[in-house]
Amino acid sequence: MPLTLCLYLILALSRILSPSEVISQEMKSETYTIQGGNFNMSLGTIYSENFRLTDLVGNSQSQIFTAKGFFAQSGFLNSAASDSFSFSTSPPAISFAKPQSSKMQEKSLRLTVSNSNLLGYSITTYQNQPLTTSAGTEIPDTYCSLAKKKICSSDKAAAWTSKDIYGFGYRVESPSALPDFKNPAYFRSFASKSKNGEPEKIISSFTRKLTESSEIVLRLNFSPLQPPGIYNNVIHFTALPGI
Amino acid sequence: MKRFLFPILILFFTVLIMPRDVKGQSIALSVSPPILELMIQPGKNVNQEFSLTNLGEDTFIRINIAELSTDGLEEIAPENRLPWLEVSLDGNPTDKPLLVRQDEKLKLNLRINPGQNIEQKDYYRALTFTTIPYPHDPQTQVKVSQTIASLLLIGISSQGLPKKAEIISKIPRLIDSFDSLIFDITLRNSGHAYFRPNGSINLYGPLAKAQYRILPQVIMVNQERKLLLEKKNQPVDRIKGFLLGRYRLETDFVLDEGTIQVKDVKTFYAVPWKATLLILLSWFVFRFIRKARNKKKGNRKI
Repeated sequence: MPLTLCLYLILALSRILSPSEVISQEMKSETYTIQGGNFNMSLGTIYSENFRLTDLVGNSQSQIFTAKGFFAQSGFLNSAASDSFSFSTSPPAISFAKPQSSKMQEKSLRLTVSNSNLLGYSITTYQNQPLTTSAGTEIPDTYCSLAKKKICSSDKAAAWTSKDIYGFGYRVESPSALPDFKNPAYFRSFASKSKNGEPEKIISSFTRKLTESSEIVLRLNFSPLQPPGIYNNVIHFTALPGI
Repeated sequence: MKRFLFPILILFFTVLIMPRDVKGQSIALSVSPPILELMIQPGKNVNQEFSLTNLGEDTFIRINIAELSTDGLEEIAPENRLPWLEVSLDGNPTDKPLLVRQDEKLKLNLRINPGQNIEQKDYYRALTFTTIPYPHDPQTQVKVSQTIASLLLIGISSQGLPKKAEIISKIPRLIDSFDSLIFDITLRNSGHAYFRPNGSINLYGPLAKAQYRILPQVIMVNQERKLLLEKKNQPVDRIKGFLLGRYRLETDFVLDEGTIQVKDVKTFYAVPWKATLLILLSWFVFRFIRKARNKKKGNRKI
């Protein structure tokens, strides 16, 4: 009897616990005008093509818009009006020592963002090309690991612990770094514009009134087979205000 | 004379070794305003001033207008540029790189002049400022370049564009009393203009009553975005604490500063089901062991 009771309880709980997607909405307004024949309905949503400007933007804004033909604001509810957004990168150049095989080199640079009253910020990055000599010889972007399931890429970090894994990569140390950088041994490779790579987001925050510094750790590990030479590239960071 | 020499020398060395404010090598730009939200009728024109301040060392910058999408910025081919969006500096176009000195402030003008026959819809763009790195030194070197952007959310319409929001809520019907309640609520913009949700999520129940302000994030046309909440200026995505009984979770907001109200109510139950299950299982195991022991004892007696 207790066995049957337990099984019944487990079954009933698992039925109740299975999450279900529910889409619903209710729209109403004191000044909203809904006329017959103009309803559109999809996924349980109701809206009307007949609307008043005041319903969309509020009273004062609609008055300005009607009078001037435009309405401008520098932030929602003017909360960000006259605010500024600042972004700094230091240093502007990072030099690596002459190629030494089996010796990883790490250099770091600091990114600082100040976002005033904006809803956070985000930073994306890419490189113009892999580290390349004027003759076109490249240092490959790191794969972090030889195991197929443990490799890193420009959009996924993975552990880079072996000295036998060569190439160029980076990691991010920041309170707002994306979750795959939480492990200090995890690295990514840069997306290369020369290889049609897209900029990748590395930092994202939704906090207001923030002045936040992040560290980008660049790691270079020369292969013993890598031809000696002077290798160069440009890495690029884009900071966007949070909206 | 010798009497004064010693104090003067001490003063000289003190001044010499005093720490000074040194600006390290850096690229640092500041832009204002960081966002421009504009609703404009076709045929009208607006001029908006932007300022760019160089807080780092002297640098060359390139000014551009990029497309803003939910994935970030995308470069626009010259032939696809919007002709009614023009940036100028002192009346001159900004198509060539500019040298901006340390602490220099540039005042730029953005002219927005949509023609009468323009398609009435939302246009999302960004005014970008990109630094151009100096040539590499003769050694293996990585140069750094940065872009800072001011976002332009422009709605072109003669009478306003209809706004429409859908709530996709994935709140479970039963949660464990000791688990956090995760707000898995997504908003979908299926209207013709971007909006910001302006309201709150309210929780009503026997043991808890709480209100969380919805972060007024921009939801672009056709975008789906998870609702984020804030409490004391910090973003939150869950309620932590002990909940017991029947609860009502009410999502209630208006679109922007308008009057279109969007409301969604979900009811869920919080019971300590994990603990209950554990107690039941323990009881069952205990009964089973006791029964087995009794059976063993009975066999011995026989």
